Amino acid sequence: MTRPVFGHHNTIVAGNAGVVWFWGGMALVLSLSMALVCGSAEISSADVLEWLCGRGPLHVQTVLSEIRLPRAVMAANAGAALSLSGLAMQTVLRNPLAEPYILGVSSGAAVGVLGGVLLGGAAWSFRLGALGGGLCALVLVCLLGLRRQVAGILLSGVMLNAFCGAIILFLLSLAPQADAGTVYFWFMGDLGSAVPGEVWLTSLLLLPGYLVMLCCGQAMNLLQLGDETAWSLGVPVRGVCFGLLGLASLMTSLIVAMVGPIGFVGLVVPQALRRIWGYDHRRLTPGCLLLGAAFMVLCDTLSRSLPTQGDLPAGVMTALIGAPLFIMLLRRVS
Amino acid sequence: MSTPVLSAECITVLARNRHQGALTVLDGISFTAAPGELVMVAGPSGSGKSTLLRVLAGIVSPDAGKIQIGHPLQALSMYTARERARFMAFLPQEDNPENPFSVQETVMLGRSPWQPFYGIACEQDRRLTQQVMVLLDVAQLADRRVASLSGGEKQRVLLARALCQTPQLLLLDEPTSAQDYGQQIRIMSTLITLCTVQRLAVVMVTHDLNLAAMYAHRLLLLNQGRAAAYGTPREVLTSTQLEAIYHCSFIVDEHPCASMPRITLSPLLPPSQ
Repeated sequence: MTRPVFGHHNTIVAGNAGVVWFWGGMALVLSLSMALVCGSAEISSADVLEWLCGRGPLHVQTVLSEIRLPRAVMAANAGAALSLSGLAMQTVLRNPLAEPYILGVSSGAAVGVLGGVLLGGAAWSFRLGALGGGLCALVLVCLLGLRRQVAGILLSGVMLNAFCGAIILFLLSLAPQADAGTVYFWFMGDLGSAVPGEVWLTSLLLLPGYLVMLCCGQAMNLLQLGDETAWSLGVPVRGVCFGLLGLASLMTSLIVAMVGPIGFVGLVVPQALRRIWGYDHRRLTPGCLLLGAAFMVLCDTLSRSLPTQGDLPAGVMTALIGAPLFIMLLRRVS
Repeated sequence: MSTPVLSAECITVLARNRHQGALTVLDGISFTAAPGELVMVAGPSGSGKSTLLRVLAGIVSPDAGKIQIGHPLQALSMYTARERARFMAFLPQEDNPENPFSVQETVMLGRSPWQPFYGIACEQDRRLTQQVMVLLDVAQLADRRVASLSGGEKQRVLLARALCQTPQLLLLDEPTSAQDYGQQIRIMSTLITLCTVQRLAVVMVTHDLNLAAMYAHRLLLLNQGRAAAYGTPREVLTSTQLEAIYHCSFIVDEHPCASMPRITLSPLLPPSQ
């Protein structure tokens, strides 16, 4: 028999995990080099090559290693972490509409940010507030959904979002105008706000999360067969499900704390990849990691290159490009 | 009789209900299964058959009682999930109806407890998958999506997956309920062959008493969570026994061509008790 082990009945592109790593890697490298070349300061690709070799004029080096590279790496991390979180949530909750913010992480974080701004207002109180708020939401939802009834978890997430939304509006009505402005800006997602040190720290913290997600591909495959079947095939279902939900929420909280809530990526990247590469999560995890990152970097580069007044929120470009692309893909597959 | 690979002692399961208090679902069920033995579990709907199987699979933990599996026998809770999956396969009555995988992918997933945890298939896995699919007559469906199959085909695919796990103990919840007569006989003779040749122990829930009479080495008859009878099919399947449990009339006589009881339903209702 020369038939491939995994058939590709409902997919566009056939291929094993190696193909995903190859194309995903290519896309990420390409988008990262675009991000380095494009921007307001005139820097050519030759300059970038010189900088890579450790040479070139000082101001070019500064722009690249202090501004463009950290921003691109932050975007890549946001794309990868949100896509992987979306994939994990959709798999564990067995709901195609699940996304990283469904458990109330972003609204919890938003309450935290608002609290941080109203109480202190130091630069880091933001991030700490966001992280704290996101983690509180995570713990709360885990407690509510302890019996792992999918509908229960989803509903608690939606309720928590609504509750936090009300608290935010209430607190904003109390806040002075200047503080409210800061919060609004964070709310729209800003990839440029993190300083290089924070970017490297975030990457370091996210790395183990990526590795764990990559290793969970087969477990996610088995979870698709139903809880009892997964259990009888040797998956400790409860542990894996709570582990994946917790990890996804942690990664999302971290991203929300650094760049604010960027919507849409976590929903659309896993869904699009499912339609291209099928339902085998051993292909989807590296796909989400690399192509999610590449997509976010590309969107950020485009939004920086557009002649807009001031900064365009990161989520605008992801939805502007992602939504039409996804609808095209949906039509082509069905 | 060789030493058993499954021993259940006094399994008791209670369902707690806010209005009625604790409800006894299973009440002190004990039985064993040895290598090469096919034990069937029968009984009316709601008598606790599926719950018993799920307790044995470790999905439901019993309120009292002891379950041991393996050689030598060891408490079920001592096993890690992977060790358990290598020794024991469980086929639930229903799977996720939105299974996105193809038949071949689904059957191959049965190999996952034996593969490195990232799930890399080796040549032997592929050969075994192919063999099992041929055995259960689903090889021609290999590239179809499981969700698009008929009930009977789906059931055979799931059974193929459980067999691909190469367990020593197989727990089956009504594996023939959606099969036509020919497939029922084919599946049962496959299972019997595996019992004799591979020394597989099978515990199987069924509603079909004639199938039990034909193939079961031992039969456990459940009624309202209690073991009504336990023994060879000839001992268990008597008309008085069946009428007491099912509340309808049965004719139990000798099968004309084989040495086994034959159960015939009668349209007469038994005299009211």
